[in-house]
Amino acid sequence: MKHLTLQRCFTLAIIAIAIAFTIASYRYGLWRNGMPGIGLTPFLGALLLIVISLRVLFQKPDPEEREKLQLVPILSGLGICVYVVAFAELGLAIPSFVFLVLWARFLYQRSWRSSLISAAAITVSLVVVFITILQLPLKTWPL
Amino acid sequence: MLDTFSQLLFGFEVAFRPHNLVYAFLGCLMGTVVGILPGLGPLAAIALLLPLTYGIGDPASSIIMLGAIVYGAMYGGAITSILLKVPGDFAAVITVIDGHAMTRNGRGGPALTISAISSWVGGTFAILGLTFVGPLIANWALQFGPPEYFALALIGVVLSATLSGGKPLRGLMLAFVGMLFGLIGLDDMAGVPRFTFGEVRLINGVDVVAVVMGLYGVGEILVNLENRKDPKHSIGKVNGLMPSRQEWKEASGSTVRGSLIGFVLGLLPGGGILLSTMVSYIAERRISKTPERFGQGAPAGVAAPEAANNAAATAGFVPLLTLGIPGNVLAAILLAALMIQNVQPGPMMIKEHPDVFWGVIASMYVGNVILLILNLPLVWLWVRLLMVPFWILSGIVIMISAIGAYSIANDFFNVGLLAVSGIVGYIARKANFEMGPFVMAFILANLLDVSFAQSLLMGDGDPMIMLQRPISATLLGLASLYLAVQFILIRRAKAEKIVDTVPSMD
Repeated sequence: MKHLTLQRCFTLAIIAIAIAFTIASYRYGLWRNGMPGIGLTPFLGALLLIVISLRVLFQKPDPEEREKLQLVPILSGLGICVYVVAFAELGLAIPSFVFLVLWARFLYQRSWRSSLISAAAITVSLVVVFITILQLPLKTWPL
Repeated sequence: MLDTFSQLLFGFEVAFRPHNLVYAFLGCLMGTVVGILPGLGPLAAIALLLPLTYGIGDPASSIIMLGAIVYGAMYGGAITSILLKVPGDFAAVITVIDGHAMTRNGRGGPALTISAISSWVGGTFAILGLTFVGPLIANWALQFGPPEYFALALIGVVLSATLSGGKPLRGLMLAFVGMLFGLIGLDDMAGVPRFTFGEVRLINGVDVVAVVMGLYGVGEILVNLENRKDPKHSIGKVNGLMPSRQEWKEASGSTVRGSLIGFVLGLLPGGGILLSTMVSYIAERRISKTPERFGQGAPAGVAAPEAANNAAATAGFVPLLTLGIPGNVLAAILLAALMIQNVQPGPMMIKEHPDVFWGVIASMYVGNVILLILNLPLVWLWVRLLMVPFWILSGIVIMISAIGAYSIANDFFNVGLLAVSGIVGYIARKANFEMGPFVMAFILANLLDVSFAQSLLMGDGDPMIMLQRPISATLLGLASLYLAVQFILIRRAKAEKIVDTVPSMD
């Protein structure tokens, strides 16, 4: 296993998850009072997962699959996580507007003018459709 | 037979209620609109629109709308394949070959018409099959016990892992991951929470809709961010829609054969959508007198896979509605939606919820007709939609996904789950891991777990009970045989590849 490709990193993460599930399900109990314990199915599933993952891990990497993660999508994904936290704390309007301005201005290099106008138009539409018309129990503003 | 007709008439009575017609219309319209957005496939479209159906209340209306969204989204995916050369999902990959070649030849309009009509024929053919085969399977399934259900669920997971278009071993690996995550929450047998780590919001399990929206919706947008500075796709021109007499002739036989292949392969639990499009395309090329035209814009190369993928997608509803086991990932998402509406699909559904069962079947006929009426006259609108810049669309999709995930349980936990699943979806796509088997196993996890535990109880702890009952033994035998053949074929293909490369190395 010379190269630590993206596939192998992903597989290693799955092996770690499988080991965690194996330990947790063993602790839940595999067989109790003549009945299958709640840990039995996940324990067997996690063991099989470890075996299959190890097989995948040691497969020869396909040269056509040497893709690398790019920073922008990962940072954008983390940006979405920050948006979710702000959405929960501050309501729909402000975080959505700020997120959309940053999205258009910095990811797609739109002018400030078109970023601000499009972000405002989308935010207003969302508030009207989901909060005013569909009456979802969401807060629009921080208070 | 008479009983089926009278029940179907009852279904039409449900489907023709004015509000249900409106839901079917809205579903077709919204499904097409979201399915058409470049970079978002039908699966993402359905996941994104699913929360809209929660507020409807009546399960029949809600499922009617969802069924319509499925049709609309699949047709939307075909439009991007034909005009943009961007397949909405794996099922539309084959349509790209001749569909876009027809567009290049100035026949984009006829390609869209052929695609719409063959999709309609394929879908209608499969609904007819579902109407008459469905009740028979449901009756037969009444004698199924836990070992049979375990075997069926296992086959669903195994087939989805190997037929989803990715590599089989990776598919199996992700299926097991999906199964483990699907088991988080309250154990159905003992009523005890499992893997929740004290988090109350996990007691009802990880919400599959938020996960699917993240994996397929947000994940796709993150993948698209890599190409944000690329030049715009060139959209093929659509002048006239009417195919020539020769094109009709070439497409008609292929449509019928594609529908038949799609229906049969779509019945396989685990999903034969991709397989059906490939088999129908290869079959058409083999029997054609001019196989060299395939790839250059042959109408049969559009008609066959489009009929097949719609027939296969609809056939996936047969195991879902009659056995409670989704035939493909689309049906798996519908299963999640049904369960949210407190409807448990399976052999008892016809008796317990006849309005839902027959209403859904009848609305499929209605939805298919609405789609046909809606799509062709509105082609100009769909082409305009393709011109909306992705930076606007992607922003809107993220906002709607976040609101949709929140509306599942009016809780921000699911919105966080959506964001994390989006990042995982991006990494999985880059690492070349197809997430379909994950979703299938995730949804089937509880059935697998409960039927496995109940089977062991029936056999006093002896798992051999599954091999002592004829139906489960046959099903498990077939699954093992299928897996063995798959791996032998892969090994042989690899060996041939090595042999092939030897001379070139010299």
